[in-house]
Amino acid sequence: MKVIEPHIHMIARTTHDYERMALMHCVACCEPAFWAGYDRASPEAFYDYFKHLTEFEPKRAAQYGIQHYAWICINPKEAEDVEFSKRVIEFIPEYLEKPNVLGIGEIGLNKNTKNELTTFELQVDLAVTHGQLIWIHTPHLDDKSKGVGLLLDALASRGDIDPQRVCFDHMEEHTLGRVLDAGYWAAMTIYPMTKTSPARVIDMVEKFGPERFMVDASGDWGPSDPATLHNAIFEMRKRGHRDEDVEDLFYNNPCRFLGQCPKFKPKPTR
Amino acid sequence: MTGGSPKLPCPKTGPELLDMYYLEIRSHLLETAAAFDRLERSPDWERIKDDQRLRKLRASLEVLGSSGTDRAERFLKLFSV
Repeated sequence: MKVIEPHIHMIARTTHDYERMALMHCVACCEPAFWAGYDRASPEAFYDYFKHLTEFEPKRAAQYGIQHYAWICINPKEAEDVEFSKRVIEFIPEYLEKPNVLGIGEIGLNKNTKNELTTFELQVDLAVTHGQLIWIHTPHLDDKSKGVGLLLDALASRGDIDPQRVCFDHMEEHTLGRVLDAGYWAAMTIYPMTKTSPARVIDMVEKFGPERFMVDASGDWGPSDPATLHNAIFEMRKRGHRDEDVEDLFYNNPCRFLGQCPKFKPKPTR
Repeated sequence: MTGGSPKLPCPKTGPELLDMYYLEIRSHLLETAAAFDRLERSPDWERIKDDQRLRKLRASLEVLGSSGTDRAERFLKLFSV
């Protein structure tokens, strides 16, 4: 069975991880633009970062037969300075033309501030203007529930958003239902300590069903591992779920959501 | 969507699930018990015994001890601002 990793920060991973992912039948991965572990000193630093995501990583992934896709944005953790954010947003359209860029992401909230929300809305404007898919980062831990509510309200108040073209990531038990009920796609992230475990992800698939649902490992420079995606596959199989349901969750659903961008090449098997 | 029947029911029976997860659940709860012991053994336990985070952790034990199919959701809400 082929697997797609919908969210991973390969810039923070070794080439050995590409090899491991290939050995685990991963055929495509998607890398949203995010924080580097430090605040970048200038908008130009983002320009270089986007260049890395659209030039270097696709080549590195291709050595292992993996298609590398990217999402471009100024991330929520560096979105507090709205004027700085606007200077980054100015050159994002140039990168939306790149052959591996699927849309705007991961935008959203970090500490649920007014300025973060302003930068989020500016980037939603950009996505709408350029007909782009949107990948949303939701806040961590205690701030998540409130942040998801703010983001849902912000999108609902616009009237120009097709929920089928938006994915809310890092969902947990207390936020997943609201996002799915509103018609959006949802993703759960397997990330030790702060997000979810393979068992909790499969619990939620059982509870809500696999429709409009994706799973990712969101590997980065923190405690994380691309293999956790495959631990979730094993968890689902261990519970006796049908192969076609496993394939739907880990391959077909990413194809269905990401395939709304014509640049995304993998096709669902059914 | 918090209640109701599962959309994709787990094919395993209750006894099968209990066999699969019993030791894992036991292990997680034991680790929690040991962690509480570790904190209370600290020489300056008095400084943290009323910490807001510990209060929430203690409150979460009531969630664990209750019944239902939404404990994880209630646990997370307890820790939400």
